Amino acid sequence: MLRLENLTKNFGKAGVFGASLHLTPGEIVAVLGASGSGKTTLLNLVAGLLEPDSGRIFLGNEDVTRQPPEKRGLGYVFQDHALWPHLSALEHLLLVMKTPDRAQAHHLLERVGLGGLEARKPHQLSGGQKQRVALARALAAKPRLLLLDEPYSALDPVLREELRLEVALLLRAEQVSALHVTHDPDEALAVADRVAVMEGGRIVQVDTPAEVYARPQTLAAARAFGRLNLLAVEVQGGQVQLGGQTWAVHGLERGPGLLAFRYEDLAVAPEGLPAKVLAVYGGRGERLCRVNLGVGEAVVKLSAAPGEQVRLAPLGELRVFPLSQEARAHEQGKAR
Amino acid sequence: MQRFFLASLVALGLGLAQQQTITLYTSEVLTNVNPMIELFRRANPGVNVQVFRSGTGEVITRLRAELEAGNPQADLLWVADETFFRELAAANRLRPVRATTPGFPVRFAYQGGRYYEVRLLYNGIAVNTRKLGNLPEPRSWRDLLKPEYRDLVGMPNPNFSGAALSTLGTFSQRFGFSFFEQLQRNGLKVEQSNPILQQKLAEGQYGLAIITDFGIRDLIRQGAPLKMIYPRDGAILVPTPIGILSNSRNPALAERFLRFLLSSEAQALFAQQGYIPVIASAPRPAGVNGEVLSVPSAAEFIQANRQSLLTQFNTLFNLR
Amino acid sequence: MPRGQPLATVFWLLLSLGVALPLWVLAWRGLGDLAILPRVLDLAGVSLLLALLGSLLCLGVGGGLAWLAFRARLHTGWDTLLLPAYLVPPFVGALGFLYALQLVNVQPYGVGGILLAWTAHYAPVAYLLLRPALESKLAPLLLACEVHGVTGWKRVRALVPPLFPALVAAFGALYLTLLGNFGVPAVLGLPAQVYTLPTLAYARLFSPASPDPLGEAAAIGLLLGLLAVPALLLSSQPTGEPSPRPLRPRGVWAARGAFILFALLAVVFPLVGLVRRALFNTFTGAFQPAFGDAWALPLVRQGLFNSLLLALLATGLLLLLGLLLAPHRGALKRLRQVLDLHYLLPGTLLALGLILLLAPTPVYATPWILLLAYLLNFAALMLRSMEAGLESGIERLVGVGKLFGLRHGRAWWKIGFPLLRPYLAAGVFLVLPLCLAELTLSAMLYAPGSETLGVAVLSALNGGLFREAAAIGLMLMALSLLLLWVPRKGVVG
Repeated sequence: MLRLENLTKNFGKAGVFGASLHLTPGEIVAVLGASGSGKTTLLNLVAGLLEPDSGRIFLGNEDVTRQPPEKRGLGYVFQDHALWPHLSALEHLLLVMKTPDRAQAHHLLERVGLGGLEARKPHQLSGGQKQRVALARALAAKPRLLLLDEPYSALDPVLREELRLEVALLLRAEQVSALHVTHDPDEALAVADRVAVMEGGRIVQVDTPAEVYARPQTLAAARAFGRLNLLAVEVQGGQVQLGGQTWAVHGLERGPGLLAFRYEDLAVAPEGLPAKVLAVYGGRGERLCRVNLGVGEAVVKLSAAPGEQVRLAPLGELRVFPLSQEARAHEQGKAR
Repeated sequence: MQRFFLASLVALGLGLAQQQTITLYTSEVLTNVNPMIELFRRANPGVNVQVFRSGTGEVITRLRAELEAGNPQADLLWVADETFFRELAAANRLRPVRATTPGFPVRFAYQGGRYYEVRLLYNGIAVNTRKLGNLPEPRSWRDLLKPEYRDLVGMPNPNFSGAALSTLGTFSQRFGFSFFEQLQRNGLKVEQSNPILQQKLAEGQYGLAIITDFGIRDLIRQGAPLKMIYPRDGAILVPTPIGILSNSRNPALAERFLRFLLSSEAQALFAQQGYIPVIASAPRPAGVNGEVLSVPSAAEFIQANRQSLLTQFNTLFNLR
Repeated sequence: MPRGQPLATVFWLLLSLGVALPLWVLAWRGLGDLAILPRVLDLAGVSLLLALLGSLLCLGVGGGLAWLAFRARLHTGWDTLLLPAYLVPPFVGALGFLYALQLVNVQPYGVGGILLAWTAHYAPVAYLLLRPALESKLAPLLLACEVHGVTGWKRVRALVPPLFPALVAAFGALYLTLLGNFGVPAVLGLPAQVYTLPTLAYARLFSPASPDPLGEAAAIGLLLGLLAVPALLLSSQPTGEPSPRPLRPRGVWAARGAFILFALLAVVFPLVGLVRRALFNTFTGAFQPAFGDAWALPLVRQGLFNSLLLALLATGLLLLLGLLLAPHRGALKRLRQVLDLHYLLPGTLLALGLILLLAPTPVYATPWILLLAYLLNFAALMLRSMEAGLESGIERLVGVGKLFGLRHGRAWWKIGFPLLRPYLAAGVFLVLPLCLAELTLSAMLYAPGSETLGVAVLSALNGGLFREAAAIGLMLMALSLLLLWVPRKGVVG
């Protein structure tokens, strides 16, 4: 449906560099990354609001790289809604429909839960309602591809969760392909078929959310989903020595590196690494403990009380990212 | 909206093109010149007389600049500065008109009919009787130097008013410029124009004014506590001629206007407005009996010394 | 785009030179007559001092009112009391003060009268410029002071410096306006031989005592331009959005009293002067309205027709220009910057330049030279108001429309222009009254048949028709006050 080939837009400090991505029809891909990683730039390149320095963009089989936005047949849901203040909800839909159809527009507004609010103008709507209008407008345009730029970031958490599930269902039902930019890993997990992780303007990994979470290919990919502990370690022969314990690792054979593990990657084991519980968080449906592992601090999913001594061991083989890679990435970041 | 603009443009263009138009540059006061034009238009339907009215000085400067740019707008010039007419006549810029009106004194068809006097205007002393109170009225020009009139006297600005330029030139020739220095020491103040001065005199900001006569008579009619005095040693007859510019775009109509001013109805209207008509058989303005004792304006002297007279005067009264 | 750039640069260069042509010609002619300058330097000083003093007074009064209103959390509805003073053309206000001061036996002519009329007219401008700055910049700071108990001198030190940019910008704008103001010193200064540079240029232009009136006026124009230049560098500051703050109202009655007092002094007082003159015979005191006599003057009818025609045409053409340029913000901005020259510099310079440039052409002595002058003078104002609209994010919303497949023209038609409407209205209601009551340009450029209402008032005044002038002034006042109910948004003049 959408194919990006080596797309580059250099703003000097930031931008998008050599991004390639492929979306199949009906697929929803989340673009995940920290702020400033080039997510929105990528979206604007696809939308045609920016022109790439090099690389190509295909929609279906059509090369749209040099096409103006109005020729591309896209829908866009903006972070700030970008509604037209002088138009009612219904007029928003009618304006973007190729053949204005009031019945269809009413139906669509019903679908997004705006039945009865058709005549309201943006200033008469709540934040959630505005976002629904923005969404209905995007769908009414019958886009080949829907672009969503952090669409729920302005909403409160309850509304956010509710709306993103509704929207994901709606998109699936309508078989709309979508590129969904977010910095919220929960959102990516909730809505996306696949996740594209961006860092420093590059797409560093594209895979299913579960795969990216479980097996991040880069430190940035690992960080993108959060829930990450990092410990500086020295790897020797595929093993690290921690407080007299030897853990087998992968990702680095020897040399300095960062041992990366999620909160749930360590568990209580009688022969494990001694750790002291420093603090306990009552998280959302789980208990997390900040522990002192002797070689550093980490957050672990654990049922324990503050001050308690426990022993912890990894549930599987942990991943080490070479330090040099991190350092190199850091250098590159500065050079740009 | 746009259509409206276009329509009004077209209307304006048509309106200007349809009417036969002449343009009059004059220092005549508007309230007098407008009824005169009305009268003319009643006799000549379909003609339009556009007026540029300002002080004589301004009118002349403007026309001079337009002549210099080769784009003069005036068909007729009617101002209170004969010297400028002499200048124009010498440069062959005035169109001669044959005097045919019976009873018209030929001496008022200047330079072989290149420009005409159409009514007579005198500089005299106007008095606000209320402001003057028990003080005696002045009887001669030199009376204005008396200490009892200190800070009571005003005159118009000769840069602006042709009549005041006459005053300046005539007195300078007759009494010497020191006359003005003495007046200045006695608190003489200068106002922009005759109409402004006469208003302020009527309002009591002045007690006395060296001023043209006709406007005072008009204000007396309106109820102002004024009186016009022609001094014993002679009021100044201020020439206020009218002439046709040789590059007039409509000389025939311009000539018709000039001749109209000498007609009996126009002369009667002049009298009504407080002027003394040039034709002896015409009625006299209310309050004027017999001949006015007058001296002619010192035209030659003014023409020769115009620049230095004005400069001297401006320095004395700090005018720019 | 890069391919077209040299061409575009040449285009803009030529356009800038063309627009500035009247000023070039003025400079050329003025430089030939610099000999007059030593004789008028004292008047340059008077002009400068008057403009500085007037700006300070306006800033003091307007700023004071803004401060009182800000502290009292006065509703913006109270602005209605200040606006009439601003909407009434300055020379009509001056005329009102002239008559009103005579009523109470105070000498109206000269420096005092000029400063009074200026303050009455322009203090509301200072208010309109400063109140938003107070709300956006000072409200949070004042709240912090109140919460943390910062009082007295410390509070002044905390509050005043952040306000400096807004004060300086307002001062610069006022100074430029007052320096170039012609109407007030023409009504209240000229009759008493108190000159400022604009009235002096006018006086020299029509002075028979001068060997080269146009050249001397041009030289004076140059001097005027020189005095204006430093203020051009004081650029205006964006004020930012006012954010509602829970400040407690203080001194509500003092603020209301000050507003009412200002309205009484700046509007009602001159109005009484005009009404008294227009309705009653000056000598006998009999009731004798002068409206009929005023209306009977062909000058007045011609002036009304020309002023209306010119105002509608100029506003309409500028509106059209703005609409055509709205989709090209870069071009709009550059054109506005070029035209700012004629908006910011005193109108006297433009008028003289146009006389020098166009006197030998058929355009001279027609209303069209006035139209050209109005367009050059007020274009920046309309374009500024358009820019304010575009800066508020309208372009992006049009872009969003295009993203959804709307063609360029349709996107502007359905989204851009409707959203620009309030800004267009603001532009129209800035330019229209200014054109309607224009005097600086028309006093120098008018000719028989192309008189304006402003010229009619001035001519009536110079012709001693004081009561008729009062009647026309009242008509103009009524016409201007019609605009009071129009919602205003964005920039102020």
